[in-house]
Amino acid sequence: MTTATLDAPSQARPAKQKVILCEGNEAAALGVALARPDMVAVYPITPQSSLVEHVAKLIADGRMDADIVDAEGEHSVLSVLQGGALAGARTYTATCGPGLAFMFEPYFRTSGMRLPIVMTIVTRDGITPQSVWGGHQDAMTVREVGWVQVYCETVQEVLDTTVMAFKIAEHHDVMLPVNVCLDGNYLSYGTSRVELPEQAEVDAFMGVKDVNWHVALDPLRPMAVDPLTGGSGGKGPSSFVRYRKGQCRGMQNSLRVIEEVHQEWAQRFGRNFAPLVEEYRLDGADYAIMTLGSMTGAAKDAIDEARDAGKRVGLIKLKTFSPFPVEALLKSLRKVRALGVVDRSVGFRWNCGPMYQETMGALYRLARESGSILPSMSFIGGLAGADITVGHFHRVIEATEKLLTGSAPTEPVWLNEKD
Amino acid sequence: MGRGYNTIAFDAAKCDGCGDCMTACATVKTGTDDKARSRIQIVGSESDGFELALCRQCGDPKCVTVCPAAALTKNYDTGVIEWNAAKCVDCLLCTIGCTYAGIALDAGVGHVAKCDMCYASPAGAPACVPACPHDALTYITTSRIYNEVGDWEDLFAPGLAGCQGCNTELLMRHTLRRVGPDTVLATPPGCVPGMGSVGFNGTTGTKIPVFHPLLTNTAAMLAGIKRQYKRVGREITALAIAGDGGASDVGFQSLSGAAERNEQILFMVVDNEGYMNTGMQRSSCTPYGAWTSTTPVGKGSGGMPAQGKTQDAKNLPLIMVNHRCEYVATASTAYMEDLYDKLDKAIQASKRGFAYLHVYSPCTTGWRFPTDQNMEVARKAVETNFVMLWEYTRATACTSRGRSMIRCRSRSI
Amino acid sequence: MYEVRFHGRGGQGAVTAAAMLASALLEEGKYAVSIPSFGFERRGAPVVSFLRCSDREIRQMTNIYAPDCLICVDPTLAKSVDIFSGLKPGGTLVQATHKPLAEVVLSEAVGVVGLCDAIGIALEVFKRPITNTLMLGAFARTTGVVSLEALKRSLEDSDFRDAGLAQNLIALERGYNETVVHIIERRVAA
Repeated sequence: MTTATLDAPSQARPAKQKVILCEGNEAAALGVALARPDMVAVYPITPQSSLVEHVAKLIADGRMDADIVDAEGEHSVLSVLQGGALAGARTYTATCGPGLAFMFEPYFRTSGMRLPIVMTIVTRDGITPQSVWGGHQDAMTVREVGWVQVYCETVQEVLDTTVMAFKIAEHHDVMLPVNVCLDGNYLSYGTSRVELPEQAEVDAFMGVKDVNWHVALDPLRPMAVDPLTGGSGGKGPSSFVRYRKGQCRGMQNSLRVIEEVHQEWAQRFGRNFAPLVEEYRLDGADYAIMTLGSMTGAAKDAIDEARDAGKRVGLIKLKTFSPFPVEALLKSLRKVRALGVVDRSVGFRWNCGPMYQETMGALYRLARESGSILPSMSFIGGLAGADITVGHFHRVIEATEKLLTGSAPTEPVWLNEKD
Repeated sequence: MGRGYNTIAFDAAKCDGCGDCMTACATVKTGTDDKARSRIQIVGSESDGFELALCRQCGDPKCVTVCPAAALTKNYDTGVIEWNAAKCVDCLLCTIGCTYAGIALDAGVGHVAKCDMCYASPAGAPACVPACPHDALTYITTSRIYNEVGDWEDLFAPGLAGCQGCNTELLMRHTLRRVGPDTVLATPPGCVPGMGSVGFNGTTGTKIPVFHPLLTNTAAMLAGIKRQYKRVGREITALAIAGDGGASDVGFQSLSGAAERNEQILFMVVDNEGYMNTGMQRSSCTPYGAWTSTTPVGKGSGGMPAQGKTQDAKNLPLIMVNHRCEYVATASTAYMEDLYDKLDKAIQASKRGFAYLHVYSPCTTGWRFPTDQNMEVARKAVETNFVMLWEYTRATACTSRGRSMIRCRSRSI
Repeated sequence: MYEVRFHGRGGQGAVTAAAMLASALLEEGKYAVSIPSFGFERRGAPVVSFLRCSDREIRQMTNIYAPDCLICVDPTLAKSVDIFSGLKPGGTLVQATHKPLAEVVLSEAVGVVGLCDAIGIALEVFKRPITNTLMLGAFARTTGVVSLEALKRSLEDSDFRDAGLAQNLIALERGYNETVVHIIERRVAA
């Protein structure tokens, strides 16, 4: 099935787009403006602040027609948007770190109510030790709450993905909130060349807004929203189980919709981002390293250098992290014989990076079908604003190469420990 | 639905038998000060207590039934039982028919005489009531509300599962009738949804859009709803019926934020002085000394007996005044006219900005008093000044019964 | 790939300068990426920002550890910060100072020096010691990596307006014209 509003763009080649220079936070704000939300609620927090300042300025300058609510905290930010969405508004906000922690209560509920709110997480490490710097710990901590989460690699991808996120969230087969994760510091403040799509082209891409067809607070069609719902149905199937299954189905559907929306974006605007899993020089590789977010740029440079030096290494990058794109990842994993996974956060329970922990589930599936276990290991780097440089990736490549012949360490490698 | 009528109520506990009411009645009705000719009669003694002999303007009047001349008739517009001199044959059967000694022979004129509520008088209200120096007589006009809203649709489903004698259910039903169907209702966790207003397992207890916000974000969610309807040009009332715990404790931040932003919301707090729905735990609105399940009374330790809550209640409505809301008022279900008056003002104010209504609401279950005593407890709370009924607007500041509550004295320095 | 590290103090506009330079490079059809260092940027505290430029797309989003060029917009900074850390051998220093070359702190790696009395000029142009646009002119003169024309166009496209724009255009031009470039032959030979 294709997206409902898909119609082919008038020209075969996408229209020429204005080129500007902007930081990632501004790119996100411009993406938001292009998606034309009705309501934006904001509360400042480092390193997200300039994003909401850009949004406020776009509205103040008349370049964006949205109701902006300067709420008194992140908890209310998301709550205001829930109200707005239930009344039919397209809604947006951004946060990170402690702000995300503070809004956890309504955050949990947004996916449960199937409200297609788009929220940027300008990822940040911490909370303790105190840190205002980048890292994926905040977004990773809430990966099990039913939001779709996608991670961007470049400033351009931030802009494009922000627009696409609204379409993914509001797709009737999905109806789930979406986090666009952009790396605090690196992408938030990183200034780079960006192509800006035309508003009319984006309007055609977005189609007609309909965000509360399934649940609404509207005197014209009165209903009770979120009544007490039990797990044991008495007579008939349990409403609670039905509800949860629906959420899981929405998450799984989103994998297909993310691909479709990215395809349509590429068609209309000429920029082709891997929607779920990106492979870089994986063909002919014996082993691979796996990355997420803005670290991937340096990793690609390191792969090029390693390839030039005769090493048979490739790269797998995840864009979509929630839902975990198991099938797409398996296609890539089948091509290699060893894997090193680099996380920018910590999974406390398994003493490894969270992406590595999730990947182990996929590796189990791979082992069942192949009968052998793919050796793998976890690297943790780039915490609290630390760099993961090309040099670090060379260490990752070397250590992963050794898995082909030696045994896999059970402890993670902490990349910045001795920097 | 039938009509309700105004009535004269008598509080025997306040009466000292002075007879001023009878003098007033006689003056108005006979032009004399002959108490014997008054249509209201106070009988009894200081030792045995006083009682009232006065026409009750019965709905099923025996005096009318027994009259052989059809000289007595019930006026269904005013409720008064009227006596027609032209038809009366002076048989006095009516005086025997009445249980309340509400109609009697006026020896001065030789006919029966009875109370007509002074309907025809210039004041249009009984002369006896204001004459009472002890407030033992009150002229109750709440029937106005009954006549006005009695036919309006109750927008809650029948059979909400409130506790027996629940004051909150009464308050909810009255409030929503008044606010009307073009409303989105937020009922944060507590007794209001607990009794089923948002329903269970896909059912609903309310005929308008209703939802469970979180205990913490009622005002914020309503703000989002109201703003979006405003954006698309639709008029709705964003109404919260919240408990004191959620409003004054964990939900206070979003309440304060929404009030500061002057969001167009009508926020009603039902103050039953604690977390009654979860088993009577202490809230910041629990008053000093009150027993709750988390401030129990007991022997204590270290020689210090546990004597209930050891702090005063947070004065939430006064805090809301300091947000410079469009309207703030306190009310009680024991004073329904006052409550309706304030509700009307709050509805109007919520079209301009934040309106806050704090209703003191005794809880039969949590406060452990008999289920038929709710109105009495609510009334006593006001009469004793344990709670105060007042209102605030930006123009008038805080007033109670139309009088300023702030006394300013100019002083030369 | 050409890598530049800006050194300045909070409030001097080192971060803005990096973004403006990136914009000028973009004007010339190059790829450019700038990122600030991350910290609490208080007025007067030393700050760093980074700029990469290239003829092809730039993928790395990291700090710069081995720059081709240093731009130091504050004359006193070298006393408190090791601005030369990681400079490539034969690398370039563009320094705001009124001192002659002999009195300027250098490292072994420095091969080219552009000196500009940025504070002196700024006090004349702005009546305040705002040195960042001046130093972009000095950078253009010293390295030739970007043209003065592109920098001007980038200023015209920026948020500067009216008098502010005019002042900055003068500052840019004077920075370019009044910078003295020295080639340190001895050090290149070493």
